[in-house]
Amino acid sequence: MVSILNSIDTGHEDMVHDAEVDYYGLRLATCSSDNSVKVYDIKNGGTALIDDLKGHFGPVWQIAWSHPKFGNLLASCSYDRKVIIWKEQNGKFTKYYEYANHDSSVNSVQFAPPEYGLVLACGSSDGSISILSYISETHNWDAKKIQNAHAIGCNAVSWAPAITPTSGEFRDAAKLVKRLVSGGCDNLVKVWREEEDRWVEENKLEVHSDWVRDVAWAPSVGLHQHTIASCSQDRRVIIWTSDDGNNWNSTVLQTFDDVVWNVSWSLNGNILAVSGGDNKITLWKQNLQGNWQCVSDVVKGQGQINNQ
Amino acid sequence: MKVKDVERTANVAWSPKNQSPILLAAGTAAQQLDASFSTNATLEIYSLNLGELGPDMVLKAATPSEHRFHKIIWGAYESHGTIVGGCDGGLIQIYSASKLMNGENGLICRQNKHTGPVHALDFNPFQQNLFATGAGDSEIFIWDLNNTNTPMSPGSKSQPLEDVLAISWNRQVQHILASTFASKCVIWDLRKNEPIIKLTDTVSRVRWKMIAWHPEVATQLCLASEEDHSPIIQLWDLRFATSPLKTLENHQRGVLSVAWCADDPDLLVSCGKDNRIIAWNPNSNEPNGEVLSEIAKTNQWNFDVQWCPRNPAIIACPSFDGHVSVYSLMGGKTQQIQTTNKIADSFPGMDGYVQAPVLQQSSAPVSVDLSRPPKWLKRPVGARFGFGGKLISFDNTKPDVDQISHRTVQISQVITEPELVQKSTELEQALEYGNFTEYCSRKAETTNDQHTKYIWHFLRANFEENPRAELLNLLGYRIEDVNNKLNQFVHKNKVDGVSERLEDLDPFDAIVDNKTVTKPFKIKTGDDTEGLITQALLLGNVEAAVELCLEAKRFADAIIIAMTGGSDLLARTQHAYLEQCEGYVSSLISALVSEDWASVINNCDLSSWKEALAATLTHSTDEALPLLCEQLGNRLSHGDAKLKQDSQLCYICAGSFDNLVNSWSGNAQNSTSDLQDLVELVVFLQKAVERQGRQVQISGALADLLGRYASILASQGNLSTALSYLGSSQDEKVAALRERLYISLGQKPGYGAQRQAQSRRLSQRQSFSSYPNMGAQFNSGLPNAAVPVSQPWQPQPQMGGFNQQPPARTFSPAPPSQPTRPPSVGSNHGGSGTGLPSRKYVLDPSVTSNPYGAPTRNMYAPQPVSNFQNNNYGAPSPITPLVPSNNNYVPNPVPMVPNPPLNPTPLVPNIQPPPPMTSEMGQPATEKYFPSSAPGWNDPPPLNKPLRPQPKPEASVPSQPITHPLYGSAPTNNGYGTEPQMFQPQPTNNFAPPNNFTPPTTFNPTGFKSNAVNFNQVQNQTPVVPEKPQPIQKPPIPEEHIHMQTVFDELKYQCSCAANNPQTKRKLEDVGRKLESLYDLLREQKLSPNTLGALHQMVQLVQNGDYTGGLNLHTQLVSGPDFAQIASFMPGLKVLLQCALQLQVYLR
Repeated sequence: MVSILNSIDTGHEDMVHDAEVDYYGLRLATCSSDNSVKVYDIKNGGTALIDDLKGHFGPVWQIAWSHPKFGNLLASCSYDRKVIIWKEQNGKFTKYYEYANHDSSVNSVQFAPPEYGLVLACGSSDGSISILSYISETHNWDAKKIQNAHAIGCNAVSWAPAITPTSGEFRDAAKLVKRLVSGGCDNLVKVWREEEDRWVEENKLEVHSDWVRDVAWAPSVGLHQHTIASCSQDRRVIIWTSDDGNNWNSTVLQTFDDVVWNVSWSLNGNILAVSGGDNKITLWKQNLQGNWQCVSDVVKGQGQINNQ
Repeated sequence: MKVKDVERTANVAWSPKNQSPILLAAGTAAQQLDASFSTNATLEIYSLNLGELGPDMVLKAATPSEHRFHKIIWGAYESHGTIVGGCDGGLIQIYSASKLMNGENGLICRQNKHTGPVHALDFNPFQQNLFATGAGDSEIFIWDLNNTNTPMSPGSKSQPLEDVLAISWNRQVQHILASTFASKCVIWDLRKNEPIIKLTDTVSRVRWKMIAWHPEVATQLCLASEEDHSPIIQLWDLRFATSPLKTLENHQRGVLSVAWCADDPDLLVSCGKDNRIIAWNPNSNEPNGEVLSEIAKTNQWNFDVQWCPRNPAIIACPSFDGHVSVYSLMGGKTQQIQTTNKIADSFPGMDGYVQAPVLQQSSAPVSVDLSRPPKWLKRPVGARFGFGGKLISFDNTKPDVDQISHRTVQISQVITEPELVQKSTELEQALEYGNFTEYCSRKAETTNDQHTKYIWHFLRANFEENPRAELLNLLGYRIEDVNNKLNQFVHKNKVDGVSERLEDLDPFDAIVDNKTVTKPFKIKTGDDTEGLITQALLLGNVEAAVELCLEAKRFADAIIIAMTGGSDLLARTQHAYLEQCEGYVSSLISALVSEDWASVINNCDLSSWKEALAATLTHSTDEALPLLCEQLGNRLSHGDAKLKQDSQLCYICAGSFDNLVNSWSGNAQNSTSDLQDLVELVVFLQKAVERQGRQVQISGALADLLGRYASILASQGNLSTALSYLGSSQDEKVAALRERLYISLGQKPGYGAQRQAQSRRLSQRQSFSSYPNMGAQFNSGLPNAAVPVSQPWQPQPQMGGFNQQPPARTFSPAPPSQPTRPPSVGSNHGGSGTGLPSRKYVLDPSVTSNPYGAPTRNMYAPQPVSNFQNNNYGAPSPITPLVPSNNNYVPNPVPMVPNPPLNPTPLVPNIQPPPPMTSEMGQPATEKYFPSSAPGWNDPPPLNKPLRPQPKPEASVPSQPITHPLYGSAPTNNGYGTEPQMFQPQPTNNFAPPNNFTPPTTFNPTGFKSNAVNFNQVQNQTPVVPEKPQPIQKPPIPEEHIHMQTVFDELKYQCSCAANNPQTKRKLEDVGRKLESLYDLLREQKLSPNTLGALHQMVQLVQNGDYTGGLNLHTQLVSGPDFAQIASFMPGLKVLLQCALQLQVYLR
């Protein structure tokens, strides 16, 4: 069952490109082609505008909330080639850090799992991916850049959950391997791994036949299997799975009627929301046999669940 | 940003949109010679190869051509499409792309119907087999690839005859074709076979070259002028064909080509003789047009620009400096791809001839990004999950009337597990209302799986009044049934008397018994074994006698003798005996004696796990039980699949969460319904364990499980329910989730640092730590921490059958020949002796499950009141020989109706029950009937044991009770009423006048017997004898005997204080009752002077601390003539003395 709890008129003056709730689900941030980011208090079904963040000079493509243990941080990325990290103090968001070292539109931002500290990945149309890490000793941000990650542009980045690479190993923060996945206009999905101080391309996943619009690494659900969803201009969604983080198998979830713009995992990693250019949002779930099934069509925030 | 580069002077065409990977065809340009002056021509196919860094494209195919190309096009006809090239001399060449890709000669057709160079070519976007060509003399042909011999003409040639410079099909209407001539643009309607409109600009001095239709608006097109004096692009709308809608002016010299982005109508690129490539927004209202970006400035003319149909960010531009460059409209700064000038290279020393190239692009690259993002970057729709199963979604549908606007964000609740949510709600309700038993029963009933039924019944048992008895019942040991069976057996063999006696292990009984068969005997003192024993006995050398008996394998003798030699000797003797015995029975005996049930648990054959579990349930203490059950479970878990399942039952008995979860988790990982099942189980087990007063540590596998369950609940939006499963576990993940839930629920300020302790309290599910009235009752019912649970069912055994039958049938046959053994005397489950021997006799192989079974007292035990029975509180009445007053009640003809006046307790004088007992008595024990009524399911699965009892539930209680609400009573119970209050007010009023009770007629064994029986029966009807009736005063003990009472009571008290093991305490309680018998006898002056004298002597010895002497005196007494008088209390005295001796308690 998908039922509307709350419908929020954002008041944006142009297209909305992203909407995300924070860790607790109490605040909603939206961003738009009107260059602004808005933050709403949605506690108890309310829709109170907390702040309207103006700092970008181009459409704002994506936003990301940090884990609350780092404070109330919100990252936004824009066509203006900038990434801004906003910090809330006393109900007002102010610019906390601005990163302007991309040569083109920054299309995607995502905070790393909190186990890694305060780290942000940014994917840009200049083809590179930046990894910004906050150094608490110096209060500075350290930036590493993966140049030429995707020719003519990176459209999406997503962090792997903080789990050890192989099953059976004990969990140890020091042994956690940072990984992220990216998708771009070269039709590729790429998996990157941090090795010492460098980021190396671990895998190049080549099935999509058109731009990869979004990638989403599924949250860990206790299983030591990695799962990535990618969606593309080629109207397909592909589920990539790997037991060791090295060898990936692909399954085409479905070929849709239109470009697929967005894939998003539920927090438990068992439901995948797929958003298509025809404004159709569908929810997918793996059945006990391991096959992916569409369990719901969501129209304007509403839908039925069909588990069988 | 230039991304690829090929060193060719070539006309290019992108592969069709459906083609992947993207290919680029390049045919040697006819417009200009390259640096080598070679007139050779090739048609090449390159792969765009964006995945590789660097400017190189991979050559996939190449075929030589006799003619160079003025233009090439690539249509989607056939797989890989068809490439058509226009050449000089009116020639067109048609290639199969797939053949080319296979390395074959792909030229499939060559036609020269045209006149002059063929500059204009275009595929129809709707019919892949159609393309149009234009050449000199205003010639336009429409070709069908299915038949290229007879191209058709769209109509009569436009006049004056001019070269056709460009030709283009409308993007929306398939039969509309536009053609440009230097001075005009002619639009054809192929259905009418005539030009429908001619566009001419009378104002500007334009020279049309290129044409581009609007990708979405059918009536609009752009025309580009190559006239250097008016290097403009005009947007025309055919509906207003008199003048252009707008003019884009930015090129400084003639515009050679223009291309409209198929994916974004707001994007148009143009290139011109000013060496620039410019991106426009042709729809902008800015005067002179809005330049979005100058994509490149090159060293030479770019004579064409082609928009990649598949990748809208990519354009290809061939230029006259010998390069085909591929640019991206995104990607920021221009890369420094050095382009060499082939012309200059070919004419060394002529550098000056080349004007521009010296101005190499500055080393500080400038961004060439479009000032406005292209449409394809604008994500129009999205959905993201948030905490608690929230789906945040937005889309770009046009706003409905006044519905949700497209700038609205929807927050929806996603419930993907409605069944789990439903079941969770039911579970919550069950927990809230505390009807655990009912819930468990329902779960058991609704499942078809036998094992699951078991599991739920096992869980249910934990919430019964008497969990262990219920568990035994479930294991197939229905105490009453077994005892019935045993009883019959015992009767048949006429052993009851003996067993009774032996069970009590009071030699005194034995002696008395012997007396009845006394025959004169000789005492032989030979040197044979018997003689030696005799000698040892005669001289009181107990140890030697025991030793001799053991050697002679006269174990019974040995043990009997040893009993007179103190507990130490007895223990040794038992040990010696057991060592010599073999077989499982002795193992059990051994375990019983040593209270070492672990040995049974660890050594029994796995197929006997039920028996082992039953024994453990019967005997072990609360402390030991969980461990033992867990051990058994662990053993089973290594067995086959069936045993593995059974291990779960053991874990339930043990309250061992981790093991239970681990043994289960195989299928609960993936299936939420399995997870729900397991969680329900665990939650109830948790309740059960807490009900036993144990703490539940949520850690390890349990924490994982509950954490997982909670997170699923949370994902369904049931945040507060989820929170209730997290308890106060310290597990990191659980704690994190809990914190998140708190804040998410608004029970905790999330964004400030302060934490309020108070909110923590809120979260704790009340039901996890408290149960509606049950927990308290349960605990308070167990005053004696060590033994509490093991006792309650002891009295139960014969209940079922007993209730059904008139007392007469079962009990009346008490033979007058054995008047000296009032059935109740020996009954205190061995409590009167050391406790060891008495059990031993019961351990007949066929009776292993019920060591308590034999005592006849059990038969009479007032079952429903087991709680107060188990405190030994109920016992005094039945065994008080002086309850003659019961006579008055015996005739009471309404056995099944509770008869409040019959409350027997008042008859026992001076009873001062310890407080817990009182409270215990206040509790009606009706639930107890549930177990026995367990429906047929509890026929145990194949036990393969002769021991298997045949539970006949219907025999005792109908099966409905299991469906009754918790406190509903089984039919047999009805008589008892469930409310203690029923009885409370009544004792005083309804009691017959005291004189009814007092008449202490002479002791009549037979009468006593029947009294006892009837009394018990009566008591059965009124199980809830809760109140201690104050008003009944016992007459005082005659003054001369008060001293006796003082001493014995004091000794008992001190022993109680010194005793630290529950068994001893129990024994002492029993002693108390027996002493009461004594005191009653004293009051009633029923003891002979002889006895009284001996008793006083015993008191003296006690005061002197000479317990051995006292015991000897005891032996004398019981073998004396007054046995009948003293039978009711002497065992008590003996136990008291033994205890005092053992505990080294002295009255000083």
